[in-house]
Amino acid sequence: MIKVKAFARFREVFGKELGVELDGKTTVVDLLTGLCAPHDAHDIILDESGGIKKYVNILVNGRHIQSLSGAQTELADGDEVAIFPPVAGG
Amino acid sequence: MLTRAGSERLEGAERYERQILLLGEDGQERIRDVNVFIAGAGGLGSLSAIYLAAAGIGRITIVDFDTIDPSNLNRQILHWSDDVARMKIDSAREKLVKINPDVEIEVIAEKIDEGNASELVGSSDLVVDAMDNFRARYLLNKAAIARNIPLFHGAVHGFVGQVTTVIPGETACLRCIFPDDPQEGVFPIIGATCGVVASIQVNEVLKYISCTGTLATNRLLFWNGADATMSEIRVERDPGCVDCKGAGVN
Repeated sequence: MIKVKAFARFREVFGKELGVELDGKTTVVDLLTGLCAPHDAHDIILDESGGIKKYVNILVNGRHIQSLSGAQTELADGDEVAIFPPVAGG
Repeated sequence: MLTRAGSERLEGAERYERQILLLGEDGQERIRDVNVFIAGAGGLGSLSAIYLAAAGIGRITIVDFDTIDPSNLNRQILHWSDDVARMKIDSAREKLVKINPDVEIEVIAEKIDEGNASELVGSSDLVVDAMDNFRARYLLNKAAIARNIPLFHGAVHGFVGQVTTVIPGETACLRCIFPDDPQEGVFPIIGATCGVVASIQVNEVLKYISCTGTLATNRLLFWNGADATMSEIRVERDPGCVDCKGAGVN
């Protein structure tokens, strides 16, 4: 089971917290593609080529996926995935 | 009433009585002895500066190059209707010395860039990140890490705000959490969101100085005013972070 936590406007899309059962080898982009379909969130999270939009921040166990293997970061049972939007104003 | 031999400025300082009950006299003396650098005199910087001045911070240095626009007035509460078109730093200094004449206020009219970031934060003990863009935030982050100065990050957008505290060499830095610049332009905002986020930043600053409580390190706090919830994301240092790699390693 992977725990997915969504924040700010992504929480309105996915809800506060989801539990997702792994089905074989799963990457971050696999997870998000699977999550987007039932929530009608493809345009919010994914770009036209099926990649993750740049402004979508994703941490796996506290580490930004950019410092891991990006969208291809593999997930393991027990991982915690956080999805949150950019907040930059002051 | 507070009296303390050898502590001239705390004598008769009833104004700090209630927070000394919380932070201790030693804590208040440390608050008096620090120089806090506030980057930006906008929505976050206004409120941080007010609360830090009221708390008796010894010296506050504020950097902002901008003038006051009418569209600032819904949230930048150091600046009032009569201040439109003035420099933000002039308006800020004028109010802050009235809030607390004990506090030394230094203002600098400069835009933070690669050439001056390190020098600007150089003599301070703490940095409050109250900027409105990540380009400047990254410069502050890098300069604070290089000079081993803690950085108190806050950012806002609409009803949403975030806070994290960075202790150089020990905790995740801003770049570990946000490797990419979100490049936000004009953003929607209400003053209350700035109020919540800046208040948490000041709370962090006062805890850090007085060695009280637990800091928001290795955590990104998320305030969502739309549904009135506070949540947090656990974050970790990135061993390959371009800003903090090697910091804290002897």
